[in-house]
Amino acid sequence: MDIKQYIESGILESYVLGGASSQEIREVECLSSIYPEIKTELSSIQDGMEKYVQTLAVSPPPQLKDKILAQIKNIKQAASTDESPLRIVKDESIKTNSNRKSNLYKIGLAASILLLVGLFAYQIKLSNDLSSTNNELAELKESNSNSTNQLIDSLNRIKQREQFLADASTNSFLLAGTEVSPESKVRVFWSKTSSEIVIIQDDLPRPTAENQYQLWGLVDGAPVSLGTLDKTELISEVRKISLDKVDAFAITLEKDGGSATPNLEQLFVIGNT
Amino acid sequence: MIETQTKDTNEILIAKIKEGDTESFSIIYDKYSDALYGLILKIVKQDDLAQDILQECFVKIWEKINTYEKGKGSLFTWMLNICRNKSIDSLRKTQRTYKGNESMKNDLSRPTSLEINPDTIGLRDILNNLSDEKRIIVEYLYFKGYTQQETSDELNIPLGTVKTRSRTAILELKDYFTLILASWISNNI
Repeated sequence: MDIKQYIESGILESYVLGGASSQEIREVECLSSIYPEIKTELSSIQDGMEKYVQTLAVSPPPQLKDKILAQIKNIKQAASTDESPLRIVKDESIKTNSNRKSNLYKIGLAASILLLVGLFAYQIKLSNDLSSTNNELAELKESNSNSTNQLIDSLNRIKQREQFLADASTNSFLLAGTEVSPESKVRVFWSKTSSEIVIIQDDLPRPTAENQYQLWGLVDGAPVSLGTLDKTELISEVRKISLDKVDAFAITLEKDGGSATPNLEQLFVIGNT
Repeated sequence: MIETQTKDTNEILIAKIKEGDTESFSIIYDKYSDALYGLILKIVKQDDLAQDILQECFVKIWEKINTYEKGKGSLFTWMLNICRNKSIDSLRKTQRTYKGNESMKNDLSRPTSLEINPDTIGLRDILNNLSDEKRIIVEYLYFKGYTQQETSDELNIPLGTVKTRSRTAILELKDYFTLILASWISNNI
């Protein structure tokens, strides 16, 4: 250890002036007991301080001495302890303060981390929620779009049919019931110019699951199939037919899906054009 | 010579005080009370308070005489420390009450001349040789109880500078006391 350097560091002066930390106080007291040079220097500084303080001397009031002597008579002297009279007044308060600060800091840090973890977890949850909500929304959008398209389609078909039925070139033909079903009644709307028809089932018995009505056009005595009738929709859409000349329309009950030739025993309605 | 005598006398007095001898304590009081009172007064600056503190300190000196270790310094140094610490404690209490008071801060930052015992003739000139900046350092460390770091913060001077200035201040003071001693001897003998 460089004693000269230690002496010149100013720590001994700091110690004597009371500006040393508790760590420095222990250090000076320990080293001065080991190194005579340090001890000598320290004593010399203390000596200087003592002499300096003597220049500040002011006599206290004379009665103070009596008060003090009277007081100490009732006070027992304490046994020797290691307590050092040298201490740093503010040192401890700073320490406690910094401990308190450090505790506060730790609590703050823990709280922050907790909050961060919480926020992170919440963020993940939100993200998951958002993703599933997005999926649902996409499905709903698609289904909504489908429904809308279907509605638009139906609306277009209804408009088309309305126009067709209102058109001057469209003629209406009544198909009346036969012996098989005298009460039955169907109307066929036919436009020769556009070769389109619409069928309205005014009164036909409900077909079973195995049966379906089929429309025929009779041209020169021969039946030509014009397609099957929908089982539930009693007013058909506008449909194209391949004939530009029809003598009569007839409807028979056929097997489900229709037949190539009509079953005349199950002829329900017929009407001439 | 005088030093050694004082030392020997003090050792005898201390031994007697430890036995509970109030007479010896009375001698110590007579010998040091002026210096200690002057120190306390310089720190707390109020007569009544300084008297209370001096009383407390002498009671403590009596009570704790067994904790005095001559290996750590003279009896006077030990007593100085007790008095200084009590005064600084008291000063801090009052300063806490006045915390934020600007006039006090102004008082702190103004270079305060060290008060001189009027009985000691010719000292002012020598003391004035100690530059203001060094005096302020001694003032803050010893009489206001600041740590070196606090002094550095308060005066806005680097910590290293505070350390070197406090050292040179003490070194100069040491020379200065040699001069005082010489002048005292020449005046009195």
